[in-house]
Amino acid sequence: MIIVSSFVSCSDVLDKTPLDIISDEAVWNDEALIEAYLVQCYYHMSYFGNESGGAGWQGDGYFPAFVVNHVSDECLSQWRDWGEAMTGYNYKFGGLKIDGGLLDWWGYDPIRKINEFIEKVPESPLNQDLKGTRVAEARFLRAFSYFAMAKRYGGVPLILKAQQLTDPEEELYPKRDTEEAVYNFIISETSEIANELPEEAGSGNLGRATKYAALALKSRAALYAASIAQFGKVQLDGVVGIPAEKAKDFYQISYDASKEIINSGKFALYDQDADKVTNFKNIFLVKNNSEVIFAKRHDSSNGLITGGNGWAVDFFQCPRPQGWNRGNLDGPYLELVEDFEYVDGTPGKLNRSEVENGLWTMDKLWGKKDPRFFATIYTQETPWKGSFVDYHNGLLLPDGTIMTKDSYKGVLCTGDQDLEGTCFGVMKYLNESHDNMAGTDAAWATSSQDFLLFRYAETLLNLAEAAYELGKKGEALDAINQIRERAGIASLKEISQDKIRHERKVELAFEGHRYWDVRRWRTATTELSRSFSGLRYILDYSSYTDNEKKYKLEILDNIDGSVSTPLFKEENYYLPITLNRTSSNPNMVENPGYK
Amino acid sequence: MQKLSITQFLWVTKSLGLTLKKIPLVMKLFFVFLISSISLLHASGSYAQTARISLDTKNQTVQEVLEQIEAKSNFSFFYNNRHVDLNRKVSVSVDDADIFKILDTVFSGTNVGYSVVENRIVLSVKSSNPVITQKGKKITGTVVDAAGIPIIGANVMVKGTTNGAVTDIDGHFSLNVEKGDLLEISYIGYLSSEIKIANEQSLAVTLKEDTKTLDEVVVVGYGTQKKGNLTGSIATVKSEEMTVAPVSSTINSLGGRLPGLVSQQASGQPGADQATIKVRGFADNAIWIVDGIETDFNRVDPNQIESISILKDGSASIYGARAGNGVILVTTKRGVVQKPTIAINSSITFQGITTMPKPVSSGDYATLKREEWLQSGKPESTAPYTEEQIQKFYDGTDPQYVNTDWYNELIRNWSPLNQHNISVRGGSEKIKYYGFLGYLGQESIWKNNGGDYKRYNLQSNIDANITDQLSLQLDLSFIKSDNMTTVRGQSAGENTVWQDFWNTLPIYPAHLPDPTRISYADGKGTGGAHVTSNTDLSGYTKDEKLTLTGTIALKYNIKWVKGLSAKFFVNYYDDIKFQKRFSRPSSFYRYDVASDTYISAGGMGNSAQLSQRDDRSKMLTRQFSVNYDNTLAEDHTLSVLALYEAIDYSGNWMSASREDMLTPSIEELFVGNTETMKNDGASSEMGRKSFVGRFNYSYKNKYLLETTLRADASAKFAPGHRWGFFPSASLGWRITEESFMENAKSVLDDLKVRASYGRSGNDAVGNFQYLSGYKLNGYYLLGDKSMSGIVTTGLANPILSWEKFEIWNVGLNYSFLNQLIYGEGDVFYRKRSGIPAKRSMSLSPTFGASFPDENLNSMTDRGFEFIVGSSKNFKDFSYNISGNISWSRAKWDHYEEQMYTDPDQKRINQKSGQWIDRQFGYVSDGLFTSQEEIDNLGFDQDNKQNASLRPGDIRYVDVNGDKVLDWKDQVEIGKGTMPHWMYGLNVDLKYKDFDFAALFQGAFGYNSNITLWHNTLTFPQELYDLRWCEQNNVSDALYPRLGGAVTNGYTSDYFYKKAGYLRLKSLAIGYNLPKELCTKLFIKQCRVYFAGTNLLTFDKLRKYHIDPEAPSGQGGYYYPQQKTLSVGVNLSF
Repeated sequence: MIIVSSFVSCSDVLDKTPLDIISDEAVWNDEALIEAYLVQCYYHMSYFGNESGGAGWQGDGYFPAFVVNHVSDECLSQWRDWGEAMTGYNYKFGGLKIDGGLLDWWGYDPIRKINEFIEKVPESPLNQDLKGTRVAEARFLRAFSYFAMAKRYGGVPLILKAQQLTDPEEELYPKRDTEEAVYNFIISETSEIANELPEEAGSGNLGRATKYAALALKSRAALYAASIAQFGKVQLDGVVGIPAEKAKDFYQISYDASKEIINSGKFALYDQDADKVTNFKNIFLVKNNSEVIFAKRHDSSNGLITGGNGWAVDFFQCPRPQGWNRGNLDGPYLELVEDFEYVDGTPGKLNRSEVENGLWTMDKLWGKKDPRFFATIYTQETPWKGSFVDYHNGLLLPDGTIMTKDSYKGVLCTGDQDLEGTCFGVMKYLNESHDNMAGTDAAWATSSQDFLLFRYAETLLNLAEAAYELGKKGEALDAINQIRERAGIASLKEISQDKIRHERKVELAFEGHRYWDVRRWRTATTELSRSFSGLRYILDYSSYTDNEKKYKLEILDNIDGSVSTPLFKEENYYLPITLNRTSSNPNMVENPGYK
Repeated sequence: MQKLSITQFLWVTKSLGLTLKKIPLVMKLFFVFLISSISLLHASGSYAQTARISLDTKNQTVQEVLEQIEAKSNFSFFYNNRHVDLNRKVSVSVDDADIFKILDTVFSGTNVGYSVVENRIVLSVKSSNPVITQKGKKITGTVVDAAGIPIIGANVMVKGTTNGAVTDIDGHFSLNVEKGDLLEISYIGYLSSEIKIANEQSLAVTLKEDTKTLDEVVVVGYGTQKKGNLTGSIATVKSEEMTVAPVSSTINSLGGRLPGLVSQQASGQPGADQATIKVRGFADNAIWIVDGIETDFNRVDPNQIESISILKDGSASIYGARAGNGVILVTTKRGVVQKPTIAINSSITFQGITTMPKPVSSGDYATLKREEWLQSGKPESTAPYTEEQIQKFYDGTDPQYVNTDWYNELIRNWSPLNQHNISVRGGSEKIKYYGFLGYLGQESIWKNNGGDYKRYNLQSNIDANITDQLSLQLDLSFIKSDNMTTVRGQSAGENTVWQDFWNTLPIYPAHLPDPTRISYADGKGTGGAHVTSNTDLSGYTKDEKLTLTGTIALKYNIKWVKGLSAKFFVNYYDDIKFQKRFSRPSSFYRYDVASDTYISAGGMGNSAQLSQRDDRSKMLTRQFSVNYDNTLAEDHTLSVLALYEAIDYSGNWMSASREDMLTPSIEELFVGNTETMKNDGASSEMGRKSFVGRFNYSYKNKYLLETTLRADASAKFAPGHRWGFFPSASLGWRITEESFMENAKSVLDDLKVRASYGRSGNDAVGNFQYLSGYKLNGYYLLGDKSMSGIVTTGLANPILSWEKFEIWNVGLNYSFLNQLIYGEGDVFYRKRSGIPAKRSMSLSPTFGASFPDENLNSMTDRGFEFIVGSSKNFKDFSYNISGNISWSRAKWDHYEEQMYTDPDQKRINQKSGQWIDRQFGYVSDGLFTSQEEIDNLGFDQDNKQNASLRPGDIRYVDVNGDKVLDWKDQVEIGKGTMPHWMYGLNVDLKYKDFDFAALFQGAFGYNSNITLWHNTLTFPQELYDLRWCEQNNVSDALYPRLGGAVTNGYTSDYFYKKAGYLRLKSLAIGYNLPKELCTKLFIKQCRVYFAGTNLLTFDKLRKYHIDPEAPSGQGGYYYPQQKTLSVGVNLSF
């Protein structure tokens, strides 16, 4: 019987269908599926998570969200034994070569999907208003993608439709457009969609692009274009570099876009807490506050293993205790620490010989620092979870010797933090109440803080920079002083290019700006080709027993090691297109200097 | 002659413990082999006395007459065709006569005698009717097989004379001999034996079965074939060879035993230690067919397997679209006509690591850490250890300065593996049965709860003759395996317990004064391997697999057409997998001795997590076949097979997980937090339909022809691209059967040349690529709601089809002086085309989508295999030694790739026209030993004007002389990591009741990337001993300076080394209890043995303590290969 029945069904053997996919036709005729398509496009904007290199495992949930900090002059990666972190090191130490690597982001995959969306949605059954908004959102994502590529590679081919294999060869194998053309495209797109996107996303749609997200992108992109025109040089017939005479125009565009955001009155510098340190920390902890123009939203569902929307900032950056007995991924350089001024506006530069002689309480050493210092960086004795961060590496005994292991009369010779690094960590974005003890694959990508892609302070800094270059020094000074006032330090009396850049470095530290800023200013060959230092705290036993802890300090030069000192070469102002890509399309030229 | 269905018989084996009574005899027909098992008593039987036969033949051959008798009665004839002249013409006319009368008529006037037992008739030469007058003293003797069963019809000759006799039905013979004569006792299917006559009056001769015999039946695709008549390249291995030494995976017993198999056992992990097996080194895996069904044979117990055949050339084409990379056919044992024989095999095995690097002591560790720190130019004041501290570690007197030997702490020297099984085998003419129950329990090398592997195999194979024409086959097989391992895997590479092991620091104690606290030993986030290797502390992954297979087959012999039969075959296969993964949280502490303080140092998770997954895959196979076998006009032997096959596949899975378990003490989903729960699932289905035809023809067993044709359709592909046709043809010429070779036959027993050509395919590509659609992918938080995204599956590809293969093979079989020297050789060439590849490599990277896979790439394989062996039987001693060697390598014919514009890029990357396994890298020239050498280097090695170089760094060669070391200086530095050359040497010796078997196996022609240190927190002792340091400032130190230049990490010939080895893969020494003792104990046979695997290894990687079969670049970083020592017993009743 079995035999008979099994043969009867033989005609069906080849009649099989895939049971796990949704058909093409279904997608473009179903509102929910069209929305889901756009969700995927948002998801693909991996650089929403601080330039991290891809989706999923390599996205917000993992440490690549911080590599853009490591390759700048802000900090080093302290997870010295991590293979991936080592790669970052090589990149920073002259290892950026024609084969590319870290920070590479070639966005034609998402761009194709966006182009397809832009083409298909107008014929879909979506209602007319929604069509306009959704297409404008898609155009925002496309402009963002082109900006992400322009700041890496310079000019790239502008592909604005989903190509077919039957398209003419010159379209399928395009030449690179000029850098100027790409910036012009971003500017014209953002100008157009600013009128089509809603002013506010509305609570259910937070996370979607708005008019002001588009303008903020325009403000930033135009500023980049302007500085490249002003400081860079035109090569390869404009494929990289922008003619100097265009600088003013771009500054003006950036200035105008910033102005429009400011004049809208919808945003303000966050200033809610009396304590300036708390206030500055809260910019990054209070969701959707007055300063937020556009953010990549997160919640606490594990973004790593279970595919949630959490990210891993707390787990990677927190001081100990931490699940892996690590944390403190970013080790801010002492030079960055020194960039934070004192409250009275005096420079934060330490007198190194004075520092290394004598004993210091932490209050004496740091007490008068800019409140933003405490909100951005933690170090010895920074309060943490009811205790304090302890970096001390050695115990100065009454006889003048330094003990570095075990304990002396019940006093431990070393603290519990990472003692081989700079003895600083990044406080910005840290949520002190987050549980960082989750270890291996257990819920460590669970930070729910939104990542701020555009915030009002940047708009002010953009405005200041553009205004200054356009000769509007008063306006520039005013913008910078708004920021300083909110921060809680003395206002400036006069403005200069250096002061604007300095303010930008301090205000926006560890937000993924610095590396790109020194590139567009063309100062990276000096700023990123030098050695940096760290600090060593040696606890004085006598002062400990006197209940007023004092430390002997040691400045650790060459903290990256002399084998690997940072090196940024002239050609590194642009990432390489890479051999693989240029040889797949011989019409695309490689960037200058890469062989 | 008795004709048995192709599935009803196999070799008769004397596998461990299975002692069979049997009388194998030579049959004239193909596909015929028979087994008898009764004790032959006297020439009578009730059936013989009652059966009545009428016969009327005129001038027909004896053979035809016997066939008619068989057709008209239940009698079966057994005889040796060397002794019975089948071609003699006789006329018989009887009516309603008994068998005795007929036989008397047929054989009147000849020396052929007969014995009848029940319905079996044995024809033999009457020993009382000697052909030659005998002289000298009379000697009597008995010839039996290894199991003590009399051999009927064996030739007993005084060597060099025509004086001889033939054994009777009891195996007895008598012969007149003279002292000093050399008696040669021979019988087909057995190795002949020579005995020098001294003063004895009687002889007891035991003949050993000749495993290389030409009449041995070999399982081939959808049938069997006599070995002598094979025309394809087929390697076979029998049960007893695979079970010489206990192994957990059948696959691991194959390497080196067969020519043309490239194997590498890269792991020793319980439940995952099977070797990679590649037929002829083909890049992809062969398909495995177990009892006619495509399935994994790794979990089949070696003891339940009768034989394995590997189809290496066009002979695989009969499996069509799946056969391109070779086919491995596995056949389980079946019942035989005999009294029930119960066999029990039991063994205990101890497994230990072959070799692996061991971690350094705390003193050495601190030395290296400091050295690395200082040599990388970091500030000395914060160097991890001071000189004094290092000294304290060495002194070991200060309780703060611990030295933990984590290797001894965590890894045991020997871990047990238990294997026990019981089988029963027997049957009558009507029903035959085989039942098997096996158990295997394998523990891991971890000292504390490191997981284990348990397997239960149950099999029941039944053959029943329902009527004379209709027979039924009913097979049921059940395999269950339970594999428990740690949450962090144990296989190889990153995120494994091995990584944790090398991150577990010797400076931390293994235990703390407070035993409830776990000592922190770093472990890079895991606390240490003492936590992650212990399932009690960190949790577990349990994999439970159940495989159920059932076959029903009905075979009908069509009475009216001689040799014609039809068969239905249905198989249902159900594979169920259940995985449970439970992560347990734990916290670690550091301890300060002086202040008696515990310092919290992290934890593995802060709450328990549980995830479960159910997987099920089903397969329903139906076959209908018609078979025709016949010999026409004596010389023309035909065999035709036509078969239809349809297979349905379906599968589904479901997973669920929760985090934040209420308590880690309950390991069930319901205690998890509902807010964290997730689930997922999917289904799939697939189908395949095939027509198979085969035609075999042989003329006088001299000229052999086999052709096959298979048509396959797979639902994977678009309608219109589903059908593929896979023909093959092969020819053989048995030169020794030619009359002109008659004179040479005393020297040359067998010489055959053969040639084959076959086409086949490989459909291992994704399903439904001809359809495009969308899948769920990605998520994005809008407002507070997580929204799901969908993403296209890519461009549709309606034209994708299977890969195509063509294989040519030429081979030779030879045997001299009754197998004193024998062997075979094969040379092959294979063309593989239509390998799926993406066109995207030649598409602009601005297109934004990659092409789907298309049948674009092609490659060619070539190689050869040779075997040479020698075997001989003496009175108390026999041996069989054979060696094999094979070589193969593949080349890309076409590889879809971009048009390289840069000549160096082309040289390094272009694959078309090149061997597929070339490794490129930099050429090293030792280490720098002085700053002067660096200053005088003459080119920029580190792209920083050599500022980062110091003595102890690797010095490279600026190959192209452009004064800078960059990617263009890379050249080919070696071959791939799978061997091109494989060789093996089998030694089988038997002396009286002792047996000895050894298998040496080796490989060369490959490379291994020596990665002693994987940038883990601690270091291997070998690195400490072999590294460059100021005290060891030599240019040939095996490891460059720690903390050295970035360029030391380049892929170069400094680390990419040639590998090769020879190892004693298995060794067994057995002892059979004497017959008399067995009889007293009421047992049939009892063998005790000692065995071992991987006991000796000679190789080039010895100094690194890296096993030559270790996965390349993973030395010390994977579950190491094991050597084993076993003691076991085979008992049969």
